[in-house]
Amino acid sequence: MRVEHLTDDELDSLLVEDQENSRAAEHAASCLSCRRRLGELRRALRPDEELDPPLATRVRVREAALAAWAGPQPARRPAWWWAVAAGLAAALALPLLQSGRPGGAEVDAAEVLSQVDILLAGDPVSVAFPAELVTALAVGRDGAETGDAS
Amino acid sequence: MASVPSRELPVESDDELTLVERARAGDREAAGQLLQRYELSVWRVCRHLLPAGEDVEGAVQETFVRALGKLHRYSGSGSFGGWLATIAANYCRDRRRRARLVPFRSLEEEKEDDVNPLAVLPADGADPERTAMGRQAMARMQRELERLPRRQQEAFVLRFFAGMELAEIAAALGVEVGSVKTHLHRALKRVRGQVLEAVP
Repeated sequence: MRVEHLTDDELDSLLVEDQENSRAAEHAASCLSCRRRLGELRRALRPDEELDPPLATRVRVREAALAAWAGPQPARRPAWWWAVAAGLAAALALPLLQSGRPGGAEVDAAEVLSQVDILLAGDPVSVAFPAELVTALAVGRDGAETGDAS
Repeated sequence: MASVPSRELPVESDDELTLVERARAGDREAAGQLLQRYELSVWRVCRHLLPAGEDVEGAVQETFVRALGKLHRYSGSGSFGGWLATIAANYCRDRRRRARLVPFRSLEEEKEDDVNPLAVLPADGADPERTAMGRQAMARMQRELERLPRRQQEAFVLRFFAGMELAEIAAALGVEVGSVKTHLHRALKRVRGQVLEAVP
């Protein structure tokens, strides 16, 4: 009686799909030759454990990742919130910058800054524009343009 | 991503979901345990999917950091290991895309590709010649893998080196399970010769 062995495609299907109850699987279970071919393929497709990093390396990388992890992230503000906050800050800062220009409107810097402080209290964006920095810029610009070195 | 019926995805054990919940709450030990369970898969995915000469260790660490930062996005419908391996594969894909934009490889890296069989002698007892030949065949298989279309390559590595289920791979690649099978069959056809030569 002629024995029909599994084709390469059938062997591949066994590797790809783990078909335990298929005709191919039944044949492989009873045919030494096909079982051997399947076994060779499975062995060859196993990850090469000798190429895996040593335990010390794995622990070091894992610990580094955990150290870089800041724990659970606080709830994020929606993206539009940042855009609105940045726009508001820019709008409020604009008169300050313009006040140093010739012909610019006279603005009370302290008053504007106090309004900025009130509106942006707790806003992380305001960190980028601390009151001291804005004041220094405004005063410095005034001083430079008027030549006030006294 | 294509929708994959959740019933096809392996459901995680309560134990693992508990670890995920603890990690989400900031439990560093739970997070460490989760990473430890699947770290070898991540190392293997990065080893096989990163462009030649790239820093595997850095890729693994980046994968872990990204995963920990996205823990709140893990739905629990698939395995945590599969989710982690998917993040690794995505990172590697990004690195390959960048490498194609800047296809520079130093001469040192070119030399490293020429595997010297004597440089990888087996540790204990194994036949050095057969092991060396197996290593050479593995290197050839890796080169053949690198020549595969992107999805075939990723499907192959996720299936055989990360041990992911077909449905998980389908979710990772954004394709149907049937497409994953097709990719795997085509990939196997291409690397079959090298695969069999690699058997020690």
